[in-house]
Amino acid sequence: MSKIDMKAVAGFVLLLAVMSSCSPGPRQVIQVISEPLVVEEIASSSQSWDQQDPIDTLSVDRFDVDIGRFDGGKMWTFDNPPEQWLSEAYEIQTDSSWFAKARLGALRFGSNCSASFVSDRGLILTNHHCARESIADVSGEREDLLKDGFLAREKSEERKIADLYVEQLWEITDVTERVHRAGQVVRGDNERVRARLDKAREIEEAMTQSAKMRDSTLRVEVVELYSGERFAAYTYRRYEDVRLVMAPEKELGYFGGEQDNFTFPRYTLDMAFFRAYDQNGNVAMTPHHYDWSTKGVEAGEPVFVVGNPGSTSRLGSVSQLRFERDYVLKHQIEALQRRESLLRSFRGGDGPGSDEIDNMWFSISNSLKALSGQLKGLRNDTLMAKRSAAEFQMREDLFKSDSLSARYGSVFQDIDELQRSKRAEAGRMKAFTFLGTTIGSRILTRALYGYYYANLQQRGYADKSALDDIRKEALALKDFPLEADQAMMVIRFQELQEALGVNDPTIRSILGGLTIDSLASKIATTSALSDSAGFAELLDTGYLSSDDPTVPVMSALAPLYFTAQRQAESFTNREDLLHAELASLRFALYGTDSPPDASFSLRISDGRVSGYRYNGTHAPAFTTFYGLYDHYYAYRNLSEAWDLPERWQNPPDTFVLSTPLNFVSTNDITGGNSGSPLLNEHLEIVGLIFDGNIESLPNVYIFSDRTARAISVDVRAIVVSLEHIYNAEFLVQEIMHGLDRE
Amino acid sequence: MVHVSSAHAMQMTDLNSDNTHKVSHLTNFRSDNGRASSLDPQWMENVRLGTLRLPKCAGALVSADGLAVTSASCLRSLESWIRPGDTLFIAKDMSSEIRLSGLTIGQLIDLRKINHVEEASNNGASLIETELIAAPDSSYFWEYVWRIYDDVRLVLIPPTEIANFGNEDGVYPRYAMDFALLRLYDQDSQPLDTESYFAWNDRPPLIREELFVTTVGDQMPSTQVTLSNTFSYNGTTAPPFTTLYGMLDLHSSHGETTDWGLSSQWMSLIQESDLSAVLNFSLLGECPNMGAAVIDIDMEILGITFDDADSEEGPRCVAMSTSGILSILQGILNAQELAEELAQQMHGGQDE
Repeated sequence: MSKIDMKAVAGFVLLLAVMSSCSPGPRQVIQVISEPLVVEEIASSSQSWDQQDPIDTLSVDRFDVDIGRFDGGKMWTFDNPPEQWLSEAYEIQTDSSWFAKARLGALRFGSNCSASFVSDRGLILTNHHCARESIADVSGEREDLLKDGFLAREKSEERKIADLYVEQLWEITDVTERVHRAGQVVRGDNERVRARLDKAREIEEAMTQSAKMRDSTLRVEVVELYSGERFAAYTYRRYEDVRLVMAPEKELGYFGGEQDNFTFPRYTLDMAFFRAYDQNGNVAMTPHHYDWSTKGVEAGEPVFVVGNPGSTSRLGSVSQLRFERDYVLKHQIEALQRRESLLRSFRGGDGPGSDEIDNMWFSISNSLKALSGQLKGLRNDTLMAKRSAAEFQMREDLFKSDSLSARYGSVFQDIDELQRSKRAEAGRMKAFTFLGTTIGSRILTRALYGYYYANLQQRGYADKSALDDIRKEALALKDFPLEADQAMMVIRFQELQEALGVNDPTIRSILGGLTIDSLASKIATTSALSDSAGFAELLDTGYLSSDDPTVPVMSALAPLYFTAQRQAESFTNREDLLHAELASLRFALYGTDSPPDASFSLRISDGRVSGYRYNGTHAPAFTTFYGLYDHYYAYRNLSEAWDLPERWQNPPDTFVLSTPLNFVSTNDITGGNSGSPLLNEHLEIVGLIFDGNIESLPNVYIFSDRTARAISVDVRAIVVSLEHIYNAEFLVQEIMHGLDRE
Repeated sequence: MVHVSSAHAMQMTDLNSDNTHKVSHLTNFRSDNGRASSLDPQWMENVRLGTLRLPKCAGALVSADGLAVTSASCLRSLESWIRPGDTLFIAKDMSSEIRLSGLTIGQLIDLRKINHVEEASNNGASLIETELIAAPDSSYFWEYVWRIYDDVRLVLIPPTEIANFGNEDGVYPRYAMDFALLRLYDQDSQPLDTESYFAWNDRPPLIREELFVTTVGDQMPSTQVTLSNTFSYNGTTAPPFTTLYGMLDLHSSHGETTDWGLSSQWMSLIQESDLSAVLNFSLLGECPNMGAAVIDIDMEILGITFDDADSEEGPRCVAMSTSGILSILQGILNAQELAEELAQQMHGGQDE
């Protein structure tokens, strides 16, 4: 419950998860060091939405594009594995045991990544960027393992990560019938959905109980596929004792830094090893693991990603995409651009808090890169024409059936209408973009926390631990240089005034007769919220009854903000329902021909290793260690992002620089796939997925493999690094031959 | 994504001083990085004298003994080009330098404003050419006096395999050893004895360094102020320069049988050399000419232009690094004497 309540204030955490759509985890991006960040100017549009036909403004006609068989993607479920397609496309004959083997080696890693077992002794391979928090957590005093890397030479040196677990998808049971039956007797759409979900939870609990009798590491999750048209009980084996075995230095694991994020050609050793232990603290025996390919893979070979993609926006309506393009992304990018250019002017100092300025700037630039890449996709008329064509086709198919027309006839209209309602509110909502987040004025964010916390207390909110969590979260906000904070406040007040109007009573209350500049200046000079100690004191002594200058501001602003939040939530709820309807319709029309949208549950996606056209030339499918050194020397005077630690600067003669380092393939991946194994047709591991290229950002709206690519670390790079740089021959032995030193 | 702002746009400044003729005066010669400098006429004259005109290309003098540098792709595109085809040519000493018949090179030895055609020098000397260029209203003329070198000999040209590595066009990052060395001989068949050369420099450009691309082509002689800067590329930042490591990266990743493939002979020669050697860099704006010298404010040569490239932020001019040329001469081609001839002049530019 506390999570839902906290959503209002802690919304940014959620927002960020949405924003960095390709692989979760820290994925901040900056663009240029010596040059100002250049982001496309957003043209303001005064078009009236209600007059627009969803297809009439495209330069590419929907009749000129083909609806791709895989526009919706290729994230196949294991419930309904694509045997036929693999045979057709690659002449690979698969059967249930092939898919079982593919499924059982894969892992869900923590709450946002993927991983795999790579030895029979519980050895786990995932990304360095997925392991970052863990590596930092097990760093002792006077240790900086994130910077220096880590290698346990003995099992006794492996370090347990608190709260980290991995999950193996052990069994799949179709429970659609049972769940749907529970809904049959219920009247009303909402009530039916509720009844189904209740039933799903009930099955989940019962099955977990019985699974635990068999094996206490098992637990069951009922997964909703095709927005509730299918329900499957996924039985997971959970390993709760996971220990860090090996991590390279951050300079290798994150080579190229924020700049190279979302790009290829790439030269990053984004890997880490962990080990699963059983409940008795012994090394877990894991007969279900992937064999390591010694040869690696070649361009043109079929490859398979097995992992846990989060979600995409491929199955909604065109009107939703247009709203996304013209309001959501536009407003977010505008707000970020304003803050980016402001922060840029404060960068370059080395005074107290300059790190915080850098961090916020990196985080903004990262988001700008991701969002701009997505916007570019939505501004691509071919993309929109394809989505329009598919929607038109679906409408035609719908009206061929009387029963479907009766049931779903209004779904597109309803969705379009909802977009109109959202548009009507968008102008006001715009003023709150990124309010109460870690982007923007720290003082105002603290004030919002203070207001929220005090209100919960006043209303006698009973959940003590939730309150503590909010307090903890609030106090985790770091101090920010005052001058920059004041400038950030000015931006926010200007945005509010612009959105609400000069004569709006809320604006007048906020300003209290002052100009925007003088209000910001007054707050910056007199508020106790400028430092964390002052903030902590106010939280405890009662923020609302204090005479802090932010109190009248928040008392006017916060109610409006929370109302807007509630409005946004009700839109979301309505949209979810309509989405479910749309998914039902799609399922009724096309069945399981196309896979359901990603749901952070296990999927398999096929593709081929392949370079592509880029930058006026060809990007090769592979990069090599030669390129790592090319970048190290080339960027040395520009940025630390391509620095190498000392032992990498002078590799031994035995280290073969032509060894493939990273490579690209046409598999369909998205956030959550980070750390996924990339397998060849014999289900040997040939790569480790860690990112998508810049061309893949629009894949969140439509799957394309023309130039969009998934990026992997080559297993051969992992082996030569372990052998020649880290002297970890024993790990190589373990992954290659299953030999253990003990 | 967005073109660089006008503050970063390249300015063109001709070597003459006509400010009514789409040309700005020397003293208005400004850099675009905020440094309001005015370059002295002597500097301009020296730059002009070091700059060479080749057919459709430019070149530059780089030693007191008439050694000149241009781009290999320029030479190979000459109509008169016959030998050595696509292969390597390297003269082991002066006597083995081969005369490139049909190739003449011009040096703009004088440039002056006259009011009447009759004032033109027209001295009739052999190997001197004069050109008159009228002002738009014909009220005055510019007289160009060229010294022509018709004894031009080939000293060194790398094989196409490495000079045109990747067979790429209009691309940066780039990894091509696109340069060639020539020597100018005087009428007595002696290597040209000259003081008008650019001292060799063996460093890559600095980030945001003000540089000049100098050319005396068919059009107005000009020196363009430009900037060595980074730019947005492919979702990240383009490298300030590329290295031999990158060349081997592409060889290894694309494969031997592709345009990026190196023969085993070159592969092993390169592998043995200093792979961190700088290969190419790029400058803001279009190249005014190919084979043109990229010089710094001290008149030291840092590169030779050889291709234009497109970028999200507008055109870029791609150059071969002189530091890379030196490394290649020493580490790959075993041309120690040539390397010494160039290195001897290193950092001599300050004296001028």
